[in-house]
Amino acid sequence: MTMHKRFRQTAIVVALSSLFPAAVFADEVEELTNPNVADAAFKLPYINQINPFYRQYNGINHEGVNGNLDLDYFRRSPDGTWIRMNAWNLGLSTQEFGASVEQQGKWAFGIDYNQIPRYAPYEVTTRVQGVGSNNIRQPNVTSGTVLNGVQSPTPQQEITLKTQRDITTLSASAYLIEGLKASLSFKNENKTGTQMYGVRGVAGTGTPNLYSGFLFAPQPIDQLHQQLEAVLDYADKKLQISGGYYGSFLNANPDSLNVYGGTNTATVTANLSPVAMPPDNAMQQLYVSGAYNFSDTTRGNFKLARSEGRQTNSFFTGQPTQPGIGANLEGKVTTTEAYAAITSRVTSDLRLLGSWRFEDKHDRTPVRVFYTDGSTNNPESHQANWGKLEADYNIGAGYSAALGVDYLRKFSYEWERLSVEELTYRATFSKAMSEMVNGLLTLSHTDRTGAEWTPTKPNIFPNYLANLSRNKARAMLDTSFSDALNMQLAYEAYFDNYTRSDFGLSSGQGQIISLDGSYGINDNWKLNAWYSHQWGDSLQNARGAVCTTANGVNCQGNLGATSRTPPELNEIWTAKLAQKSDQFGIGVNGKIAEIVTVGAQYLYANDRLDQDSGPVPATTINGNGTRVPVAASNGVLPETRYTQNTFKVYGVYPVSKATRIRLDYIFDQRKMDDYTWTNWVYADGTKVYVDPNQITQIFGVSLIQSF
Amino acid sequence: MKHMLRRGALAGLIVLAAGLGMTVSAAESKLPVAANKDVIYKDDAQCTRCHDENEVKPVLSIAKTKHGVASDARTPTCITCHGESKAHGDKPEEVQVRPATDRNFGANSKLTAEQKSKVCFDCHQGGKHMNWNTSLHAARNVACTNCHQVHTGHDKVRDKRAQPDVCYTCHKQQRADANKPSHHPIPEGKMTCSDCHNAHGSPGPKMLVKDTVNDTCYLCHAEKRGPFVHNHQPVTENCGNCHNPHGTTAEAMLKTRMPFLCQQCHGSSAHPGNMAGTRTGMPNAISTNIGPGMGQARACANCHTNIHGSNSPSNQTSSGPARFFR
Repeated sequence: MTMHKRFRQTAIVVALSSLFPAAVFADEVEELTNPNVADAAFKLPYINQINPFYRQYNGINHEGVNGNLDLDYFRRSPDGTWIRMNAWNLGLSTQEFGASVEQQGKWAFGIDYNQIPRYAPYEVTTRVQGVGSNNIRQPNVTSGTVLNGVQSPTPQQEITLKTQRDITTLSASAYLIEGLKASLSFKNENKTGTQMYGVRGVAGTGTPNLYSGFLFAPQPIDQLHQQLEAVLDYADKKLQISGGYYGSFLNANPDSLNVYGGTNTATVTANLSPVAMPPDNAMQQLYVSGAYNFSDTTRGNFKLARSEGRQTNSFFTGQPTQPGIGANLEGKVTTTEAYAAITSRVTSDLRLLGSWRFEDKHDRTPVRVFYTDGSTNNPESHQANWGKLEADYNIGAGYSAALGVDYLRKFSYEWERLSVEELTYRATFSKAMSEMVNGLLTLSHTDRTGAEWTPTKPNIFPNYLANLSRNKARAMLDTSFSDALNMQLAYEAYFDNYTRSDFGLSSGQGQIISLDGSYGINDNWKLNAWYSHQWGDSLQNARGAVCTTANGVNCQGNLGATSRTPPELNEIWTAKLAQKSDQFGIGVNGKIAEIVTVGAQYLYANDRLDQDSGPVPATTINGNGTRVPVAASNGVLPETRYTQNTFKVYGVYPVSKATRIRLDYIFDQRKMDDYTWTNWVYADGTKVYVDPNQITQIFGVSLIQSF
Repeated sequence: MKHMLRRGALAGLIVLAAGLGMTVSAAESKLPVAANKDVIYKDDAQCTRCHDENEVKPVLSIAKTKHGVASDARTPTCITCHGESKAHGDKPEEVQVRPATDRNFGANSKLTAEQKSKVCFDCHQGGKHMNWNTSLHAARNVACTNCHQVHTGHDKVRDKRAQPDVCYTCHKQQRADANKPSHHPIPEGKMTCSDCHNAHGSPGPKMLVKDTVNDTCYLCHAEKRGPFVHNHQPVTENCGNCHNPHGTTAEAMLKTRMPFLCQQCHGSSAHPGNMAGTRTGMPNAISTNIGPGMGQARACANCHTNIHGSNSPSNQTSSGPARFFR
């Protein structure tokens, strides 16, 4: 560091100090007790490169400097009136701001705005036109110009798929009389943009089958979701009760997506377009919930809610329809929820809990014939009951044991089995109130059974209805070696075994072990670190066809299972899906020379996924009923890996009591090795690219000024 | 350029730290507070005469919180929460170690979690706290003070961006999931745990803010609510049948990648039971070769594009909306 540079730095600070004079509290006690804050942070982060994974939710899609502003303003007057104004990332697509006024214990008003972007974690190049609208036009491509993932000619445009939510919330509340509070909130949410979507094309001819496969047709989104809630809360020492209204109203546009083929190509399969988009819908609910203290040791709770959902969006035109379906679905769903619970400390050492919950979801939508073969729409209704009993006994010396039973019964005429029942037994053993070691161990076992399947051997075995035996464990150990050093060991696991279903999910297990530690090096420096190892796998059975030709070409001779008579001619195979994840985080915070606040964080995450299918048969029966060899490498999905390395460091220097300068540096690397999009080319030539090694660096300087 | 910026940033920090420290000087301390002077509450001098910011247990910053608004008659005093604590305040000379307050809430407290929380619930037992007594947190000996910092103007768990770290103290699985490539924007600070969960308890499952999983998801994803002409049973039953909202390695937070996810139910019916591979020679036909390639791109949803339900009135049974094609 030269003297010249030091002089320049000093001069800058002196200049800043004179520009932003310190707001000094009258005395030190006042500073420690006064909540008033008026801070502004002018942030100038420089982003060296935009990468899809980093921008996914960070919302930064512009290389270079992305100036933005944070504001924090709090004022409390002696009569207990709070004024709040704050903003975060003002100027970026993740910006938030809000303001409120509150007379504590009397009334409050607030407004908040939140902008949430979501970028697709990849880059898309396409010749499809009309992206963003509900009229997607496939390009004019001469047969044969898209071959093995290469399109010739190749004039493609790069597009960014992005959605954005703009959420404004208004809230107000007032205490009408002592203990009675009225609250009102209104949330207005606009979701706009375009997201990944596609449709099935038609089976065509040619080499390759131009426009025969899958067509890129991004979905336009223009939705307005408005939610209104009005609540009356009453609370006294004995009784607490809330009654309210909740309404949710969605206006979703467009209601259909048109996909037009290019010239000299086949269009999408007959009458596939227009494709339905989500319809408008609404739900309104009235509810009352409460609790009552029967005594100092016994408390009861309840809730009753009744809601009605409606979906009356006009059917879009452009599709052949059956007579008598009406102008819209006239969808109506009523749901009744009831809940009751009681807890009681029957002795100083024994606490009991019992609860029951009931749900009746009744889809009252009229059933009409929508298909030429007489098929109808399919309303889905169910009833469910949940029950819980738990006893918690204080053994002494901080030890306690709890035993519990959970019961669930769900019923529906629409399911493949009329009802399922679940019974869970739980045991928890814990140690608390120790200065050195505290911990908890919970073990549980669940059995799910149900009525006979309909038919006895259905083709579909929903795994949420299948017979299940589940064992779970959760353990946690907290150790304080000293005031400065704390360690925590945690373990969670589940082991599932599905029975009674010939095909579908057969078994599964997942485990995670974590070690956390924190160490206070001294009054100024603190260190924390953690490591998690997560692993799991599942086994599932399937019956279907195996490709008889190499992956690089069509499986022309292969037919789906429906074409096999009897279906037993299909291959029975197993998939074992295994996941592993390692994560490591370390953070340090401290002060240099009692003045400069510094901190650093590092996160490493690595996820691996193996999907093994097998056994892959050496031969299989093709569509002609002939046994033929299975091409090598069929049925093989490559391993996928995802790695994240993120390092952050910052330092804050107080130029004066009112002015601070903050420097930030972020290094973010995401590595993705994933087959999902690698060799994929849409029939229209659209390609989706996931950069296997994405590095983003951010250098930031901020001026934080207190007023 | 990158090196220059990096060196410049580091040099700036060092210079600011080392060269300019003299611009900040601590004001002469006026602590401790005068023994007879109340700072926040009536008669708090008996506490604040010792518990200033130089004490091991500083308390003055509670004045920055809503608990510190003396003009609100409902606000507590030190004694409301900690008890009279006469032995603590008037330590006899012959006693070497000062007895604790009647009620204290730190790591060395002899109160049970329920006893600690009862202090808070004497006032906060209505509204969103109403179901605390039935919550799993209460049953597992979590006290209010395990998550809340009462004596600070910045309670981490009430800060949207800091809250997840508090929850991760116990919920390691959720921390690991949130760091997977497909997740809700929790690490980015745009969502937080309490957007979906009420940590104080609720009548619904998993302490969700609404009565069901689906109603909670519809708070932001109302376009999935329907009802549709053609409903997909697992969707109307429980979004959690297919999605892990805390994060996964598969796009859209799917629990397992397609086609395996779909084959967990559709393991045998028609073509869904076919063995998936990856295809290199794209594009290709779809009609006779569903299998290789159905694990790529949007996988099964390449064709079954409206998998959450379709409101198409079409009467076309071939590749029709009942199979979520259109």
